[in-house]
Amino acid sequence: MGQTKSQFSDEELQDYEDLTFFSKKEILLAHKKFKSLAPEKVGHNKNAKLSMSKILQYPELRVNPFGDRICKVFSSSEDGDMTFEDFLDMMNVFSDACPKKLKAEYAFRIWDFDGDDMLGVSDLKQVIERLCGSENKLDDCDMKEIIHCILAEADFDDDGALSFPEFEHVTDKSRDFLNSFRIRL
Amino acid sequence: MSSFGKEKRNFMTEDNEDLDRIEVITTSTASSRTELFTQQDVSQNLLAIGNEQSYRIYVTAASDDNKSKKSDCGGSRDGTDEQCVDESIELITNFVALSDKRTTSPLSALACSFNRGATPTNMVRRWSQTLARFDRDKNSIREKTIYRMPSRKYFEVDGNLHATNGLEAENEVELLAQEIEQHDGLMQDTALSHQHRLETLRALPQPLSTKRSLKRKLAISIEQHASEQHKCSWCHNMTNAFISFLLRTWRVIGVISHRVEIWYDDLKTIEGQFGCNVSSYFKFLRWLLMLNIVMLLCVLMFIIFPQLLYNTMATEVNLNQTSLVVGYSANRRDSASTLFLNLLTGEGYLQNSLLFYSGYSDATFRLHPSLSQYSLPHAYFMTMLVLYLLIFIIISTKMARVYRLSFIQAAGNGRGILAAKTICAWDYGISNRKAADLKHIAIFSELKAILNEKTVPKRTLTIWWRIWIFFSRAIAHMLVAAIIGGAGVGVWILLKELDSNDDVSGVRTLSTAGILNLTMLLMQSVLSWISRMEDYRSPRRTLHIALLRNFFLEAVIVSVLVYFLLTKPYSQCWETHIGQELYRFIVMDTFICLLIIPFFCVTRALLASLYWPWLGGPDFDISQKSLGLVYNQTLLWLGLLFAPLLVAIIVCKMFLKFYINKALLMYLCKPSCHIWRSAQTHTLYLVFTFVSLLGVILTLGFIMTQLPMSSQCGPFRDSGYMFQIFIDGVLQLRENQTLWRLLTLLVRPAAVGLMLVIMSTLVYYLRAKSRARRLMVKLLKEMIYLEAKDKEFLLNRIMNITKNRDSSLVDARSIGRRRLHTTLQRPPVEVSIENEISGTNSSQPTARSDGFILRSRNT
Repeated sequence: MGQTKSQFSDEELQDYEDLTFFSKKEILLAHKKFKSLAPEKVGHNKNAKLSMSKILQYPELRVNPFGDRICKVFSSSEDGDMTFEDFLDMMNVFSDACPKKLKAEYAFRIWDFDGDDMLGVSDLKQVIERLCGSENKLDDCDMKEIIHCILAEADFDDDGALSFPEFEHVTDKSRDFLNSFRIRL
Repeated sequence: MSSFGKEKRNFMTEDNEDLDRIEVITTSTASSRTELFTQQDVSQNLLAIGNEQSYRIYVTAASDDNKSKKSDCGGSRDGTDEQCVDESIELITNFVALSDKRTTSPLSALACSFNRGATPTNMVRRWSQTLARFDRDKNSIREKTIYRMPSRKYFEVDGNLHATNGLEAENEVELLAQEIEQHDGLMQDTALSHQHRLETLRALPQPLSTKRSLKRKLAISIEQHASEQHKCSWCHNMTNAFISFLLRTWRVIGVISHRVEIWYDDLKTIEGQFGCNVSSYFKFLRWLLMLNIVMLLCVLMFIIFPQLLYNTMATEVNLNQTSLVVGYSANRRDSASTLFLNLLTGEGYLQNSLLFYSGYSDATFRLHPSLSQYSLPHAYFMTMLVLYLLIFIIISTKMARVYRLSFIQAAGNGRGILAAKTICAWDYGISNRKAADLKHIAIFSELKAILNEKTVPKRTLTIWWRIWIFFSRAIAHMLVAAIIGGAGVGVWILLKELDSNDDVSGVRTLSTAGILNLTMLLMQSVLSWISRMEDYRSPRRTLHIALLRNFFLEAVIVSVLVYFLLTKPYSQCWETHIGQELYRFIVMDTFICLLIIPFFCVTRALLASLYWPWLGGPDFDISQKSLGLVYNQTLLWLGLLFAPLLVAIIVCKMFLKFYINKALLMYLCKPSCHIWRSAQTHTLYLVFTFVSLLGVILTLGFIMTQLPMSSQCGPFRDSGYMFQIFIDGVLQLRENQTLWRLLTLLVRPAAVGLMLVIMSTLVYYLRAKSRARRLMVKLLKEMIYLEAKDKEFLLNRIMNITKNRDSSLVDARSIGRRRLHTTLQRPPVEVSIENEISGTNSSQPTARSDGFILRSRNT
């Protein structure tokens, strides 16, 4: 712990504590976890940029079907590579204390594959494919049906895609969103 | 919604303003969120019209105080008026052409062709939208800062701008800072304001670097602000210091409570392998354990420790009054087996120990002549009273919160099943490859099942089939009622039978508890089996019904037991007898939970792996186990009053239970391959806990006020009823005191009736309010639907226009140009594009656009 502590100045730690939902101890723990992904590199430079493949070694992200999307969304360089600050940002959003609205915002971005700020048919298709895994293939007809159902349920203004407010409406009403969209540090 | 059905799309040409400015002004003063979001959507759609052009569009949204703010950034301002009008018209043409290309449906065309501005800027826009509604109400300041912030929107459609470069980020910080600086509540140099500021920053969907520079920027401007003012009085400083002290304390408490959190890593492992449903059981266990530890600490501090002190003092002075000492010396000759049996039954040397009521004395003592007196009976009573009240408050607030979250807030979402399921399908906490694979399969099969339900037409139920279902369920319910009633009667007979025997040897007394616990266990499986036979459509319903029945069974058995214990004639010290009975129950329950059930699980797993694979591994039945916890807790609360150290036993038991269950889960059980949602069931357990606590408190209230205490033992041997020690000793009430009179007045029927009436009125009022809200929600949903219809209508109109646009739009252009030339010499003239288009189309005003006026201003 002592060594990890020495990598941050007090001011930096205070900043992190102020701007995230973590306490100082948790921030250091986060850094420890970050460091365990690439011990030498981070040991030299605490803010080293790790490549996406390295970040995807993190247990929860490794098995997450949206791992690469999560990396891309939180990466400051938008290519999936992450510095410690990006990593902290990510853990912050996935933490328990994070409000539902912020979580919904990032969940929306993670699912918005084409980046048009709408969850269109193609986005939803990818989401469902990833959720079902590579072995379980839904046939086209089923897929269409599911997407149709989702849109019928959630697409209030009938424009064939979920906008953020519509998405947030679903997450607001869902009992399990907070439970499931969470990674413990 | 003033503009329903009216034509509102005007292109106005005016003097003195830039031509390249297109503003979308929301005309409605919508305050509801749903309305807002439609508007936002529509504005987005309209804005995206300019997508193909490298335009920047300035959005002005009227917040509910009708103040429209403008934000702008430069476009191509060097163009002449003429060019700009050209561009505006081109823009429309372009859009029309775009929607023309995709002939499938206007809506999907719209959806596909719009390449709306992507992530960072949009997120800022959303965030700032909530910031707009910030008013100066200090109480709701925090709420509003985070969730309801303003709506000065900054929105760019130019695709090139999305790439973030240094300048861009700088710009963004600048804008965000401006946004926050508009709010006085956030910009004061006080501790509270600082806290709100930090909370606002935390809730900002921005990377950490942006947040940090924003923080710096705000700090600087606040410093300037503060130095300008210079009017900090000492009062101001004091409040400031006090608030910051409170905030710091709060933070420290948070950190400490976080450190105290036990089993963090264990829970994480469980969650990683089995998902959050299974871990919710362990969290419930941990929560109850924490509650019990608090109880244990209180009991130790205020009851046990003083009693021990007193006992040592008493032996020192050779006052052999304490029954404890007598008890020890009398039983010293017992053999080891008797000692062990006594340990199980709570008889013998345990009877007069500190474990039970009779081990406590009614003395008042002082440790040192200079110290004040410590009255043991008062301490006993007050500790118990405060503990029960505390637990009641904790559990009811927690239940209310969870209930609100999982039932009320989530209510009214009858149709959003699939969408919600898809969104929450993945459990992000899973970190294990095997669990992840299982989760994939579970999601896949769940989706398949939902699809089947939807596509296969509902079983056309014949009338006979329905009658069959109705009768079978009715029979099942009656059967269950009969079983539960029978169990109650059986327990009663059994208790009578066992009691009539004079043989009070250890095994005999132990058998009551053993038989009852085993009956309960067996009955529970029978009941679960019955509800599985009943063929309810949703598994959740099956589960809930089974849980409810099991809970009823438990309640019936426990209440029969309590009734029996309270009405039984006792020779002496009935309090200790009740305590002993409950002690035996808890001991037997501990044996069953910690030894017998794990033993069966292990045997089953061994048999399955060695001989009969069809048997399958044991499944981890969360519902049954959680109910077990509730039962356990009920027994504890019942017994605590007469056996304070029971809580220590329960704490040990729960510790062991956690590890045993974890081991069983990790080594023997497989993750369940069907998804079931934890949130609602968890609320149900809390409700059960609450109901049992309520029952226990009522029973104890009855005991305290109605049953005369035994006069041979215990701390209350001198006071007739338990509550009298409180009335006489603590409140020092006498017959003629005002408070006493007030109390007697309060419990009169008239006063109680009045209170009941007031409460019912309140309930009625709240109910009426909630109904009105529900109606409002329905209305708003209909409005959204209407808006969508309007949009569709508009798009259809545009499609119609495009069919013969070739000539007309060219005409329109030339007309527009001509007009412009003339407007340069004339005062502002409104040119309605509809008129021009409809010149060829001869249709009525093209469309309304959902309360938006699209204008081009000619300066």
